[in-house]
Amino acid sequence: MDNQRNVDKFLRLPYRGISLLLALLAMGVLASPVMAQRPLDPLTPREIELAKSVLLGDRRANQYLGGNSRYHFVNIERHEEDKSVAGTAERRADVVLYNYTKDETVSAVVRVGTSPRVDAMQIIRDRSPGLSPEEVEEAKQLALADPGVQMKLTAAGISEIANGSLIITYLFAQASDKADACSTHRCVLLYFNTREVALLSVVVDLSARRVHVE
Amino acid sequence: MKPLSRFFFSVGAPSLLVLVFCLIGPAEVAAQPFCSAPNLVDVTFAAGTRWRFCWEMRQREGLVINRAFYTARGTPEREVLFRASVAQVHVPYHPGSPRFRDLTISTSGLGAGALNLSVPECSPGTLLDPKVCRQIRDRGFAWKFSGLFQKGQEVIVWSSSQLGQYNYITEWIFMDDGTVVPRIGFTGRLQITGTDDGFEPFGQRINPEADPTPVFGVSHFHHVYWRFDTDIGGSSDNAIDNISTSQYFGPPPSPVSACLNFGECTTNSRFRFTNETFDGLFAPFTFWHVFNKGITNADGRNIGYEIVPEGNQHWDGMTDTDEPWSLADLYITTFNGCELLATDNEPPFIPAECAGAATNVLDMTAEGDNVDGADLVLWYVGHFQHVPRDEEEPNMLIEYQGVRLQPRSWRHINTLQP
Repeated sequence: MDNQRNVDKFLRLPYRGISLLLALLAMGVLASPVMAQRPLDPLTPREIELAKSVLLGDRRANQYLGGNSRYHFVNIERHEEDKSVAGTAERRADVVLYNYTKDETVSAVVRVGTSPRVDAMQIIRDRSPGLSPEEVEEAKQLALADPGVQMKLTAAGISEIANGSLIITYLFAQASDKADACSTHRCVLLYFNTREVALLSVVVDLSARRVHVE
Repeated sequence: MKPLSRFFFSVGAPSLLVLVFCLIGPAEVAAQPFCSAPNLVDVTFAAGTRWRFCWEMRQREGLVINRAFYTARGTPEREVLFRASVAQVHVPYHPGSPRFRDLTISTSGLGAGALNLSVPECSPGTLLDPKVCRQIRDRGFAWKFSGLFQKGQEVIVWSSSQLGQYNYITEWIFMDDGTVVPRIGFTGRLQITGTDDGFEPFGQRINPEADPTPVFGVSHFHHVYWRFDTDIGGSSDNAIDNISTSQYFGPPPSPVSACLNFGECTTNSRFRFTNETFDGLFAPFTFWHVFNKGITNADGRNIGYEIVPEGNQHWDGMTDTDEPWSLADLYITTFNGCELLATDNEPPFIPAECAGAATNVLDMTAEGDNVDGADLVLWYVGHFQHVPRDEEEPNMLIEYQGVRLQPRSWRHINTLQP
């Protein structure tokens, strides 16, 4: 009898260990914050790519862009749902696309969950969205390649652009004067600085791909 | 007992029980977070109090706070902010132009302009994201009485946005006592200078007086509009009072003074807002109290928060013409998910589904919805005047504009008291 009790005790120990291990595993898996996407998490790269493809595959967007429009995705971010459905609604994306061929903006709300589709789309003609990092970089490259800008930088003693001596900041440059091309074109105002001083400002018209030194 | 049944009772049943526990949890377990790391900030301070919130970087508004919950000592966790954000930065220059609206028509937005931060910039702290720094730091005294004292802590998340020559540091400070301090730091370089003598009344000379041609740093304002979706203890049944301060003259006297002389006695008065409207810092020592009408502390007073202006003064923009929305310092609206920006509240600056929403914060009050027991959104305007100094060459020393949101009757005693 005593031997049986000892055997029972001996057998119970690993059973308890297995039980504890399974329990800990269950808690660890279920408690992991990364396991399931939460409603306020930013869009994932997959969701961003899906938003682009869904919009471009939409019949209305297709008709609007046609076959040869020059366009650029300016911004894609998580759509914020109304408070009454927050946390339960299918995830959606706010997509902003700039059509360089027509100088117009497409603003859309796109589902990126289980039933991808475009929920809303607007063509906007009198207001432009801000610039994307890619557009700002393109403006910088256009400016740095401009002979007028190069002359000014050389005169200021900037001979080597890549050495970090130049700090370039920017503003969105939509003009209110209708006579100004930048009232309808997509323009960037660039400020060239060194570590010590502001040097010059330059307007880059991304629609016409023109540079104007101020 | 057979081995299989022994296995079940020894291993399977306890594991099953734990599994069930994890799925449904005991009633006292807090709600699951609304976001994942690194967007989740969950800090329990040395004092035993706790802040839990989500952050997100959005193109226009920059660093946005979602679902902020505070746990004081001796109280359950309760929501303070459903969402908090910068809703516009209006920068009119003293000569009349330019008049920037930094989140919409003038730049790509605080988020688009957010810079990648370096480790030294965020030290000591943690880069939650290349553009967002979180720091937990000592804030000095929480309180002191004779030889008794308690030191306080705070958690701050911040980002840096380069908008033209200006650099805005967006900060959200959450203190262990429940206070929230949103603020913006203004630094970078002067955006606008002028060499015409005509700028003299509108700026300050920044080059040597001996130089034949003057260079003026042009003066301007930064009017910061914050949007606070304050869900005090939840989204419903919130209300807001204006608390004003004025001279009091007797009779009747106060319990200790006749109150017959100017400056002798002072009273505070409460005014309950009943409909969507706006208010201003027209009188000194004005502040506001937002609270939940249905939840009280142990003393029977409604839990709430004060909105306390700091270093702020009233100023009007072009209220009669292009900027009607610049006439107030606080706007009170009911919740509308499409009302996100204080000006230019229309696509593409807000989602396409929101076309047709009121386009500015003044128009958002036009419906006059009931706000006495409702889901409220408060729009606070901080006004900062910048008159350039020599000290701002070549880089501007940082100055801040902010506001203080602090608990009032959140608990019946000090939020930190064990």
